[in-house]
Amino acid sequence: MTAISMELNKVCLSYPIYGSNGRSFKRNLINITTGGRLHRQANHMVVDALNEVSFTLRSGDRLGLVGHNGAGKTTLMRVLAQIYEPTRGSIEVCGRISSLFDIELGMDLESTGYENIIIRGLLLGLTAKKMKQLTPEIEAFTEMGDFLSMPIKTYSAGMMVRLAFAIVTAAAPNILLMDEIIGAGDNRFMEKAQQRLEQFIHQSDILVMASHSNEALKKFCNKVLWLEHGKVKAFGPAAEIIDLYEQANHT
Amino acid sequence: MNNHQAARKDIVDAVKGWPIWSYMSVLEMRQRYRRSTIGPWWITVSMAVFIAAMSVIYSRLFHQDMATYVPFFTVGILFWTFMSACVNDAVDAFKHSAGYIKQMKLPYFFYLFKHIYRQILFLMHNFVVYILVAVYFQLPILHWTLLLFIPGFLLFLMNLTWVTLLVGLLGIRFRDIVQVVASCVQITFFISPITWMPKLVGENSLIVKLNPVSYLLEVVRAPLLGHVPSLQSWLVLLIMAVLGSLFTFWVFSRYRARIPFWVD
Repeated sequence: MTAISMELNKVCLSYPIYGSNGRSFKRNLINITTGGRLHRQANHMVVDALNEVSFTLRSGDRLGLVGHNGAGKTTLMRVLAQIYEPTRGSIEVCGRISSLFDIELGMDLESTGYENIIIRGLLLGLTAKKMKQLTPEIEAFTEMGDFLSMPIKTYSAGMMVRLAFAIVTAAAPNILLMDEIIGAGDNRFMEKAQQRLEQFIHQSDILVMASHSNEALKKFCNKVLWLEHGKVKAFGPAAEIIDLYEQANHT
Repeated sequence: MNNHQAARKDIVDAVKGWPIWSYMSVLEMRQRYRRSTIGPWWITVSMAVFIAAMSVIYSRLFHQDMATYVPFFTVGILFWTFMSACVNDAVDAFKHSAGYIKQMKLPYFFYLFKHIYRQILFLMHNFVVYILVAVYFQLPILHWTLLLFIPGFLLFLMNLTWVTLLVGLLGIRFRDIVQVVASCVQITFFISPITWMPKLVGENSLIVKLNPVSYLLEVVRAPLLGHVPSLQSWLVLLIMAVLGSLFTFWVFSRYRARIPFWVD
């Protein structure tokens, strides 16, 4: 087994944003046939979302991302999840990544709770066998009993979140990516969920978390990356960078 | 990893993920027919009614006897329905999965396979109509020629796969492609030998010879009706499959990284 790690080397990402004209096949065709090459730039804007972002994370690292809205936190998260590919620069990842951006994604309303445990697990990169092993533990955590044999469309919103949360936190990945902390269900459940989440976070080798809550970042992270306009403004020990970031925000 | 390697890895990973996408296809199909007792068999029933009605009218219109016309039309329309649904909904293969594409790393071919497999499931349901027709009209199919269906269908699928991917990619990049494709598919239906037999326009007519769909239909239809498809059909499709796949692979490896931005 190679060591769990994540290495970004001068990652740049720019992407086009198309206006309605840029997305029209007819317009593009007319532009080509009328020799309208000059106008083509006007059809879309290019956004430089990330600019030369470099850092290395090794097993045990807990990285927090801070920055204003639109600073590139979510974009960076998606690069780490290997959803967006860098336009320039490179990213190397060793380990199973799990991205918890939307925990209810991939739940099938017509299927039962048990069926959803399997399918959601498969999407997380686990095997059906592994999910069967984890099922009793998920059953116990959700406290939903026989409801798990019912189609999940019969669930209340709270139950749905509870099940989704129990599934995605059942097995810790090597690398965990979280965009804001996930909350689940009613108050009594929140406490239980909090404990499970903390345990889950501790079990994963690497954590990357974006959050607007500096408290949460201080609690979970040992390193912080401050992004501004897609560039690394500062990177270092959590407490230090968060202090810097808070000072900058207050002045 | 360069673009070609990444694209190849995408395909390999997607093939390995077959238990997931095949299962998801079944779920999606079930979802569409929830709350109806016979479920997806509805499409079989409506297909049977459609074929029965059209057969009566067209066999009169073209002065064909029922025993030859009904099986011909049945097989043609079954595979046409499959093919046109794949291509018409190709854009949805990616667009409906935008949530997944933007949230987790799955190979893009995963969505393509899921989409095509779901249409294959519908085809399999509709296939019951063919079996009924074959039994009723006592088609001479229990013969080695039926085995030719297997390579024929594989060729058919290979071509359908690249066309679907290409249309899907174009469709998420250019929003108005959907309408263009829909009109093209509709016109293709009328100019392809589905409702009319090729001999009616003359076997060597250009509308048959230059129409790729007529070859696609020929290789699956002939074995199911107890004939041997022409060697020419297989050759044409083989060449189309190779050239089309190469071109689509090139497009895919070049623009693959843009997909998560295009599905917005």
